[in-house]
Amino acid sequence: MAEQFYTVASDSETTGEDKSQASFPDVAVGIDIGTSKCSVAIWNGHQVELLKNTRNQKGMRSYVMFKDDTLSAGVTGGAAKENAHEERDILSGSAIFNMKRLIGRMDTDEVVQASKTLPFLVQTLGIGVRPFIAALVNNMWRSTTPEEVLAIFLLELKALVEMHLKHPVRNAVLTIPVAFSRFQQTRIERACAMAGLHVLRLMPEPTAVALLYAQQQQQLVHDNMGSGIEKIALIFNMGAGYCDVAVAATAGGVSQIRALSGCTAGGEDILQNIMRHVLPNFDGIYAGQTMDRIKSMSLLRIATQDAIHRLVSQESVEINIDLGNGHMVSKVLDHSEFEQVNRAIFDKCEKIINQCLADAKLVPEDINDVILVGGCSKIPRIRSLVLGLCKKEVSYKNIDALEAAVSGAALEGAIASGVNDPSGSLDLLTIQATPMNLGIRADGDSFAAIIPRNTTVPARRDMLFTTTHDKQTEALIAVYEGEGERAEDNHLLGYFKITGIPAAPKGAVDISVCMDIDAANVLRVFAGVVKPQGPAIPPFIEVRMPTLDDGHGWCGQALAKMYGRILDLAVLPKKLQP
Amino acid sequence: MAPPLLSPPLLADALATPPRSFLCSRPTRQLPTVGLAGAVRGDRGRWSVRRRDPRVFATSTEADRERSEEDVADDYYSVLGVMPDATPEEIKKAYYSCMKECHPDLSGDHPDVTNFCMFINEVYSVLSDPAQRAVYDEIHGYTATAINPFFDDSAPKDHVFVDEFTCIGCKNCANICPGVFQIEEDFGRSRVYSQSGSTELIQDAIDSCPVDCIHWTSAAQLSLLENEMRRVERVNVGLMLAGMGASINVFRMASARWEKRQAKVLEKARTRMVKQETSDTRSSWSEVWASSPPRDDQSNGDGEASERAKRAAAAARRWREFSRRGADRPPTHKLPEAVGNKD
Repeated sequence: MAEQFYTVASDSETTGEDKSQASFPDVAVGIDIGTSKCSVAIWNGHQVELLKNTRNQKGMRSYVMFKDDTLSAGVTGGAAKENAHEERDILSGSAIFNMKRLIGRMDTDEVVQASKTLPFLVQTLGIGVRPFIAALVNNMWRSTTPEEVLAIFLLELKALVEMHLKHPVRNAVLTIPVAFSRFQQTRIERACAMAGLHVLRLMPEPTAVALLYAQQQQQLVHDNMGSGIEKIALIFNMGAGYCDVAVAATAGGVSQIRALSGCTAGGEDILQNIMRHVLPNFDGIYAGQTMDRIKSMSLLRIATQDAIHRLVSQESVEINIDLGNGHMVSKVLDHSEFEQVNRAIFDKCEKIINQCLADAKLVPEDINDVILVGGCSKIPRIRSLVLGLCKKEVSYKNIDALEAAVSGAALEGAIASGVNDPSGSLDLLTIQATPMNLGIRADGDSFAAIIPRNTTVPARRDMLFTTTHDKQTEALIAVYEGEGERAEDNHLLGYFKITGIPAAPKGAVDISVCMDIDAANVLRVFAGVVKPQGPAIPPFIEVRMPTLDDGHGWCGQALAKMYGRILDLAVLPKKLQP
Repeated sequence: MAPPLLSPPLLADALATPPRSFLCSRPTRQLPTVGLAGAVRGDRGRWSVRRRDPRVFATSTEADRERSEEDVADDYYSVLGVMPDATPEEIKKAYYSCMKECHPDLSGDHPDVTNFCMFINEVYSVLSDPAQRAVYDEIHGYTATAINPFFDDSAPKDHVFVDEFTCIGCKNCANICPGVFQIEEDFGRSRVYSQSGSTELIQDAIDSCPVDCIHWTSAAQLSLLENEMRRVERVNVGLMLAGMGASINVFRMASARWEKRQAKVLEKARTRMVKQETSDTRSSWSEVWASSPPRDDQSNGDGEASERAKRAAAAARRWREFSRRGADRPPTHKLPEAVGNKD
């Protein structure tokens, strides 16, 4: 064994240029596609390396331009374009951005509603189907979907990586927000499949940061020959689209996620709030996309964005814009006004931090380090809020706010690909946890959680149910995910029927529903009759979730209306199970 | 083709010594029992790739067959490779080490690996919860003042157990109460498959059993009995009746093992008192005389304790099923040979 290691090392030494290719041909890349920025990283044999595009950028804009019948993603961003022009082009209606905010959402979602004022076309019908999205091409709206846009983007990203590594890339680890539902995760996986990438793991962003933190702590222990004492970190991640919190315990290279929580609040929401604040009747003025309105909106958006950025380091900023058609904006914005306008967002952040600490059964004094990552973590109010809740004066310094998630994803990619580093830099493990409750509808419209939130992954749990009618021979299993007490408040993942239940008085039959999540986060549901036993009992049914592709809202309502009463199940009182 | 597995002493050393990066301020002790995860998975470095060859797993199973009785994991503590008096920090470190051995991220996405990882997670969830651990300790005899469940008449006997050494496989109970009892095809005898059944039908099955092999038990007794059965190799009922007929009183064995565990606790307590170590609070047995879960849980009353005991029994049953499928080490307790019966 050791000899084999030496052989590999010797071979690497003699052919230095081919070391990466020869040693790790199948290592998975780490990809962090943020709502506004994305980055890609890979384990290069010694450490995590963030790859740069042709403009020498590590962080690339997350958009796809559809102008003049040619597609170009933000990976390259075109040749030799000025920043100002690039921003104006992105906001001209010909580019689709905010894919991560839109992917996998229904048109009843408030995030989708808020996106209707974006320069590209977002149409909703309000019946729980996918929104209609289109880009302006040759003065025509051309339809597309967030998955397609993301796939185009990933294709360019893949080309960039392969150009750098000089060999094909197949596997990837992607970071996702904690608040992503399983349906949204399947959309990400489909976009990756369209781009020729296989998703090895989907990692919640703070979990990826926790893995990077675990590696740093381990190296610290190596360097200082200190005790392998456990450290607990609270990781707060707020980007343009999402806000996530995790509490992770780390010791000896193992990162155990104790609790996760997240919500859809981010820089985009802050931007929208400020735009509406500086321009009253914002929604009225910009209802319907016309050419002059699109142009006017882009001016406002650029100016507001710039003001928010400057506010990070200044006490107050001026916003002066001529929007045309007699609309003028002339305003001075200071910190207190900024915080007042965005109070709801900051309250949301506070709520998920407190929930995360409570779920982990910790008090702020138990936290050793506070790690702030994501673009919005630079906002002074955010920093003071998080540090205040954790009773800390300063945050952890050794992690870059914008590169942490993708670095952690690259580490996980190397570990899950089976890379073994002699120096011990990859002697790491992430013990993940489920971010949401998983269960089925039972007892009318109640939600019976079978795998509770923050259960360690991989996990398998089962629960017993029974019939609600005499001689009931079928049962509907509707699988939901979420935090609500009623099934209707949660995400419907899929459904199937159990048939062939022996006709018996109600409550006389035991039906087991088992949920299994493996390390790749694949959810399977097993259901069947366990009592009475006999040759007439049909086999168990195994269904991989989610199965629904569209129309979760009205599908759930239709199921409840058609089958909710006659195929209902009741939760059995807890008893010892085989 | 696969290198031979480490012998038990070396394996114990490998497990007892934390990984290089896992330096402990506390001096390392030689653990008397080998952690289950370490024994099953072996040293990760011995394979050139992380993905395990299924044949290696088979080899491991064969090699394990030669281990002595002491190598069979006796309880959740030995599954993780710690002593029953381990502190919560020690349990967590052991859990992390086990996860490094058996987590799918490091060992591949083989179903057996995933199943075993789930099992370790379940063991850790019991031992890391102080209230749940207290219930477990009391059931298994790790509390000095605990009462042997087989002599505790206060617990309700609401669980059912088939003494498989007495069962002759007549199928009577499976006919009377098919929701609870099932005949195992491999062994031709009856087993309890579900505890959710009609009490009247179960009683009918008990009354009509020709060899009186079905018993009402308490949840705690069932935990101990299932744990004992996990350690015993079983043969087809026909073979047993034909001449390998020496029976084992599984009740007596489980009870004796419980007494043995408590005796160790008492001995350790006496040693501590003699050395006047009353100020030592590192050990979780600083409350070695506690006879109930932590005070804050006492207010929940008997219902809570009963629920925890039931969960412990269910976990013991799942562990037995897990062992039976071969992912665990095989049992080393064998039924006596027919020739021994002539003595």
